[in-house]
Amino acid sequence: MLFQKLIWAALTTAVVVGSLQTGVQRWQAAPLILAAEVYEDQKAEVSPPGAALTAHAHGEGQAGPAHDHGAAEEWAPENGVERTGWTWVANILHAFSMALLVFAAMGFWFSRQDTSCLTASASLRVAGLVAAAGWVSFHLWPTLGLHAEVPGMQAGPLQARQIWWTLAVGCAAGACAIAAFVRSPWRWLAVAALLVLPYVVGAPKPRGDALAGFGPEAHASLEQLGHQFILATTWVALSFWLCMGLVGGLAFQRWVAPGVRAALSGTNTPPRAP
Amino acid sequence: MPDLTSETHRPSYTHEPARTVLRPLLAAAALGLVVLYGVGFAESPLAHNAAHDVRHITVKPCH
Repeated sequence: MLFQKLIWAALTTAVVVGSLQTGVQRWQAAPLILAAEVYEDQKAEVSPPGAALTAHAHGEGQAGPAHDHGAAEEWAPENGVERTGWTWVANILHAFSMALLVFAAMGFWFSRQDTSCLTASASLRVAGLVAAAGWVSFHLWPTLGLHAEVPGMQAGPLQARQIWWTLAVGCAAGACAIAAFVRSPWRWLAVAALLVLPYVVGAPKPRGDALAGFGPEAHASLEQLGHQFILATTWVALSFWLCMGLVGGLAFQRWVAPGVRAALSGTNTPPRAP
Repeated sequence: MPDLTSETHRPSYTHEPARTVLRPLLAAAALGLVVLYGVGFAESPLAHNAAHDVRHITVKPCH
């Protein structure tokens, strides 16, 4: 059954990619978050009430658990093994969601080909192309408008940013799909229109200084951490999609391709030209 | 009244482009989006705190 094969292949890919990512993040990005949280707690102590309505509104400014929003009794993992463990779980779930989307796109691509095209090298090649589209759609395009932020930075309203992020990702993914699947010479016009749309709408920005409320020293440190974090998240995203292309391509060939081949040959459907 | 159970009246799949492939692919993509929402966007404080670092590092709007 193809669906089961998709789930198992995505789970296997997710465990490998998610675990590798946790390691890369511990090395590249997590220390920057921890460093920023030291200053974030300082802000909670010095800022006047209501000064950071849309910012990182930490509980009562206590420095106990790793991360603690809103009410003091909210659970948050303790720094160290517990926090890394939950990050590992979240990384696996994140990689699982991306692997499912990658395999769905790859399966759709191969469903339009002759089944004899489903070779190991073709799986890796298509996985690489889909991973590149994933990087453009889920990292490059949304982050050009909404930069990576360390904790403590003030940003635009959360819901507006989530809507804009969804718009940017949807438009970029749609543009990649049109470039891959539509053969009309007008497709590049549609691709350009979709790519431009989120930037015509405009990403929600914070009003004023994103680091308002911090003292000069904390302000300068957080600014530097913010720049380092943008660079770190760029490397992390590149490594994520590189791993996803490699591991996903192998997993697709091992588990999903036989299912696609069997399902296609069971449907009398003549192979269509790309 | 045609006998719909006979072999001759069974629907032909020739004109249905690989429906048996597209359906599980769509289901997988839908599940992927649901899991992505849970990891990246769910408002529950538990989900937020557990996935906090991943949300920041994967550049999801977090706070």
